Amino acid sequence: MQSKALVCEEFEKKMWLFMDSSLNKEEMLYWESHLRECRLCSGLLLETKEALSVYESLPFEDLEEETFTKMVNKAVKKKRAGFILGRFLEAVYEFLFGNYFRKFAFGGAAFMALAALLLFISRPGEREFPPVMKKSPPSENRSTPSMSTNIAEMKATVKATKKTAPVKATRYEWQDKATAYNIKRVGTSLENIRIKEDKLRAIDEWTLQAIALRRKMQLLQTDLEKSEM
Amino acid sequence: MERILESLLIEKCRKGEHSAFRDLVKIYRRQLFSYLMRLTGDRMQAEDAFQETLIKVWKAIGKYDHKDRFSSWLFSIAHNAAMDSIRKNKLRGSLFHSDDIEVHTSESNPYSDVVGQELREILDSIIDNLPEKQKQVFLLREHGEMSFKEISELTGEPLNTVLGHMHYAVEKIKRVLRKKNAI
Repeated sequence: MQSKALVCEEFEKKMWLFMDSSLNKEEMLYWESHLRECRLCSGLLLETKEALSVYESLPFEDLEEETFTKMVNKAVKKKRAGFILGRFLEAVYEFLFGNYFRKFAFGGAAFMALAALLLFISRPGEREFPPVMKKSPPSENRSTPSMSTNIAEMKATVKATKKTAPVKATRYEWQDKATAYNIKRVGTSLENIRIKEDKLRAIDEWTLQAIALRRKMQLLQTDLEKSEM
Repeated sequence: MERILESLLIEKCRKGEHSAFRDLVKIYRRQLFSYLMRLTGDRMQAEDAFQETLIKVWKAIGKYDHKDRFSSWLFSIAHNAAMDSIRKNKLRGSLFHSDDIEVHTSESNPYSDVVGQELREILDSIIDNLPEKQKQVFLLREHGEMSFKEISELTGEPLNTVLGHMHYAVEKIKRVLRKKNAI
């Protein structure tokens, strides 16, 4: 058996739950009977209720009607934009996952669209395409390859490339473009080599002339020495 | 009866009826604004929080669960909006002055005439000076009529702590009222 003071202390703790009617039935009945007997606890409860009623009796702050109307309109407007988007997404969702008929209809349409797209991308075209240039097999006579013969070989290859019978090829356009670009690059390289070769040839000629002149000078010098003697 | 009306209005709101939303909020307007005024201590801030609450309620009305009381749901949204506003205001470093409060009473209360302006001011200052948690619990209980369990869930504090906050807040009010012989 608990002492009265302890029971009252317990009530003080549970008073708010008692006022809230949050306690179970048995506890509610127990505290109700205790309140009938205990003046201290019933006084505490009464005083608390009075204090709260004084607070509750105070005038409430309120919004002006006009301000309130404006606020409601603003809140409703804010949703409107989101509401339309929401409805649209809802419709899309319904369309996608609604009933089976719609689902299959959408699936069919999506498949057709995808197939058309793939067909458009991979449309095969009959294009003339030059054969891929192959590396010439290593020649046995590689020890002293002359520049002019190399250039001649390359030129011959390019010519051959142009003359070769067109090969029917089903390639994408970008591959054609890449090959054309490569051919152009080879052509430019060959042209550069040709210019360099011309320069070297000129240098060679000048060197030979210089050697010939030097020899002539040497001969003249010997003749002069002989005549002096 | 009120519950039925409330449910009807909620249903209409879900269908997008603006007038129903207005009527629904009007039921709790004074309670809600008064709560926000006392919690924030500033009319402008209270109005901002009120506006924010309306926007959130209108957006989320479709998600409202009928198992919960609408008032509790509404006040929990308002509470969060007010706390956000207070936090922002604290960051801005603005200070509250009690002189800024304007009282708009929509209807005359006979008791308030008796109790007088003095008591009102005293109680306002007591509530304003309560520690933050005590103030929150007291106001949610008194204005939002939320149960302590609901307050505990909303504030994330244990039930006994919430009860303790309420006890201390009311004790302070009682002390002042005893001095003024109001109780």
